[in-house]
Amino acid sequence: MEKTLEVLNRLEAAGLMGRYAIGGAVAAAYYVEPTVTYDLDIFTVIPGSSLFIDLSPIYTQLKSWGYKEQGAGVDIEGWEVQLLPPPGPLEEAALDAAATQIFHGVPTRILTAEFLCAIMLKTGRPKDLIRLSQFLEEAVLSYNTFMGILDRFSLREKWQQFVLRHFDGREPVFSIP
Amino acid sequence: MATTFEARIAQKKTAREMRAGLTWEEKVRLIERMKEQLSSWKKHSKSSIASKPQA
Repeated sequence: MEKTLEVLNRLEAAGLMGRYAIGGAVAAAYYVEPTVTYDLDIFTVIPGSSLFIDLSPIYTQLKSWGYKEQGAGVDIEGWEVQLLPPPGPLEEAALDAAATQIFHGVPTRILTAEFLCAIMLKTGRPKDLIRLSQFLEEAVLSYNTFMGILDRFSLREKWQQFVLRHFDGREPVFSIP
Repeated sequence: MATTFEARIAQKKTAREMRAGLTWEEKVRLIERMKEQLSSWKKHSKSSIASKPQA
């Protein structure tokens, strides 16, 4: 994956995409037990985009470097990279708060556990809720940080529904205050 | 039989604990290996189906 990250860093350095951070299953693997995935979800701001998001300058550059479109993204060094402009304020804040990490010598960023879980809660697909349960079982979330995000982005009601459905209404134990 | 089952559960738990104890870099390598294995299994199963004698 380090070669993939080098390519993303080149795109960022060239100004074709703004600050980026890894989300999805690859970011989740930083905090909890890994699960198999084919794609690499990249949250990024596309410069100059307002109402319409134009990924064509990035795709043109990637094509000139020999990378081809695959599925919903581009195959970059064996990873199907999906570029995801933040669809709302939650994802924008998640991108701002992303932490720098080094992967085999290559600098990158990943979303924090609390923002990842808030996005999973918001998205609400079965696989997201399973992964959210995994984060709670492995007790890697900070209670105060997570609840602060839920309040800030009006996700408390969704959280209560999730707790009712997946934890019989009993709030899961958070080992980090 | 019960012992074998319990041993398998214990083994699985150990493997899970082992995976959870890996660094992020090691976990991503594990994902990459799983991806490769799944891809080769998919290719293999497709060619097996294709080479099956037709009725």
